[in-house]
Amino acid sequence: MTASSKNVLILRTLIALCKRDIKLPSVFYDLGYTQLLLDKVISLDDNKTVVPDLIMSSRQQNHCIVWESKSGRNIDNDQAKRLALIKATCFKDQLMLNIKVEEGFLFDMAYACDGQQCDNIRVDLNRLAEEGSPVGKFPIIGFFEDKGLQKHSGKFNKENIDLIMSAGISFDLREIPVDYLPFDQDSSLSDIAPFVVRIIVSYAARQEAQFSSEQVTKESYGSSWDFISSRTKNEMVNKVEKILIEARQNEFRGYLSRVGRGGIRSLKWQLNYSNARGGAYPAGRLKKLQKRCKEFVNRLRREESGIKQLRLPLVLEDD
Amino acid sequence: MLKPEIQKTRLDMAYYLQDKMRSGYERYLDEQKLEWEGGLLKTYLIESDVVDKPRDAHNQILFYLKKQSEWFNYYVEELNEENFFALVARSRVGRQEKFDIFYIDASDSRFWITYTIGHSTRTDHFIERLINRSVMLDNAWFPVQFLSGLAQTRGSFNGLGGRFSNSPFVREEEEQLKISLKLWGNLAQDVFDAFRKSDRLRRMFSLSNIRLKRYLSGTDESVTDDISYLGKITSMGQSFDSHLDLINKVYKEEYKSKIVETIEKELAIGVDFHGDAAILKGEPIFVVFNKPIQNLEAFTRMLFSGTSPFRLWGLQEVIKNDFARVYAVDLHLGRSLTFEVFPDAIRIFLPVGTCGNSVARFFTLFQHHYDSSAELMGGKHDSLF
Repeated sequence: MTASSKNVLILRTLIALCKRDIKLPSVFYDLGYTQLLLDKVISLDDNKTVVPDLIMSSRQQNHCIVWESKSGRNIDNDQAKRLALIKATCFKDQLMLNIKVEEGFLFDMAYACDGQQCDNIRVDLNRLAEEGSPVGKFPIIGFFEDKGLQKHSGKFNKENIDLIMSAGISFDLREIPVDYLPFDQDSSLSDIAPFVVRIIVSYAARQEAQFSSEQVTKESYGSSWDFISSRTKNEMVNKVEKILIEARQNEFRGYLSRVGRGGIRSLKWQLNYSNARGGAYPAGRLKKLQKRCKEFVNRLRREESGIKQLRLPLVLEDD
Repeated sequence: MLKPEIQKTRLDMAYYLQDKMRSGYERYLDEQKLEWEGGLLKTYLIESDVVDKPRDAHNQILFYLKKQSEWFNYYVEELNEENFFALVARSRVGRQEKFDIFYIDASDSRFWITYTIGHSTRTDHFIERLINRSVMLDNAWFPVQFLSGLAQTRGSFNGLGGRFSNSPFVREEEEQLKISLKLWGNLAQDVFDAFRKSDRLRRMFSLSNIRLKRYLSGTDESVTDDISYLGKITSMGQSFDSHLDLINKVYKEEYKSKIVETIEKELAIGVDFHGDAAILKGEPIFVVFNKPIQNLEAFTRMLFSGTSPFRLWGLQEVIKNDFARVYAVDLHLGRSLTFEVFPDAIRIFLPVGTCGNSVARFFTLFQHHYDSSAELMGGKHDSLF
């Protein structure tokens, strides 16, 4: 698993624990943490801003947790210092969350990390604390593929949350749903590809013969597309573009072709049909496409795991 | 060509259908045939994804119906009222040419109510073809719990039909389990209860029809309606008003509210605007069942092969012995959704924009072909139907 996919997995897990899911411990759902904000910009007093990965809020607990997800071994020092500047009033005034700031409201800033990196993150935070930043108490939660999550160090201001995290929450990370956060700009091609090929098949079923790379990316990513930055969108579109080129040149040969020239976001693709009369995409052709989709995703995975390096064209070629 | 007489307004249609119902009912009493040529009023609920500009709904629907008519032997008439159309389907019975008129009331541009008095063998076939041909149309899907709930609340339970076939999951014909039956009478509830008490039949007998007998308020006159799992309601009575009252309650108050308000607005995965921020919304939907899946790989391969009856295409990953993830496309509507399969439950993620009917269809068909005792739950709802 790549570092970027671990990051996505950590965030998916936190979101999943806020849902009523009979196959997972619905720890946060049961405590009322049902308001979830992803990548929300918070303005600070010094005219700077900070964008935490996830904020979860519970009116029942009158508590919010601001999460920073870390799959690597180091923290972003500036980000950590800015997180420490978030004030209680932000949650009501800026984020408009359903909480009672004047009635014993508490909030926590926490790091959600790959279980193997907790010690390193703690060292970084302690170093910043020694330099005078109030980040030393930030709790660190480690995520482990086989056993779930567990508090590594630090302390939550909210006592019941601290107890729960200290005891740990058991689940199998492989069963964490993917749909809450399909991928991000750092995800590997093989992590993005299943979402992309599925959208292409849905176009086939709807007889939408032509589509752009941006359209595929947007539909693969889901409805939070409108809330991410243009830069992130471009990075994601570039990856989807690479996936489509790779598919067209190999497993999707004969099914997918490029139409005309254009900038990366407006590049058009065409699905080739064999049924001249219109109607649904023929079942036999979809069956073959199903096999090719599997082969394609499996090949990307094999190649990414080091058996063979993917050779992606640096420039786009015409069909 | 002889053109059939078509009513131009909803009111004229109501008078016309009322008249036909009365004469049909008298012949029904005389001949005691369940249905005779040109007889009983049938109403179909068509769920549509045709309109994307509500202000232009009338023109969009008209354009769509005309376009579809290229593939079928029917023509469309634009009637005198907004979002009200007639489809005239032509067919040949022996040497005779028959016309069946379908009045489409698309006041709700998402859920079209379609009336006809044509013979059910022809009208069922026509509606089935119209829907199966299009990725923008679907019928309603009433699971066992929905039909049995109607039997408890909307009249006296006066008959039932049921079916089950595990053929989508068992290839060898000799090993397939099948049942199909219909029986009428006021002991319907007792029969249904007996089936529910049998562990085997509870899992392998899905309600496909119910018959309801209702008394009109202030009179001793009764009306009887058959409701099928595909949402078709056949009236064996003399009162169009009473029929209209039933379809409004069943279609709009009960079915539509579950599909739109609960499944699409509450449970679909997406974002809600919150000032300039996006709040993540939605919950997983679960199909929970008693008959464990022995082999997830074989099960998902068969279920997501893209073929009837489920018509689900899927890119499946068996992640471990007891967990598989399927990136699926509902070929009926051409929309994506994710299924995560455990031996005793299926977790469904419906993205915002994918129709809630996909969930109702999957669940209903799952009851008809895998486990009739399956339950559907999601979010705060222990039972969605």
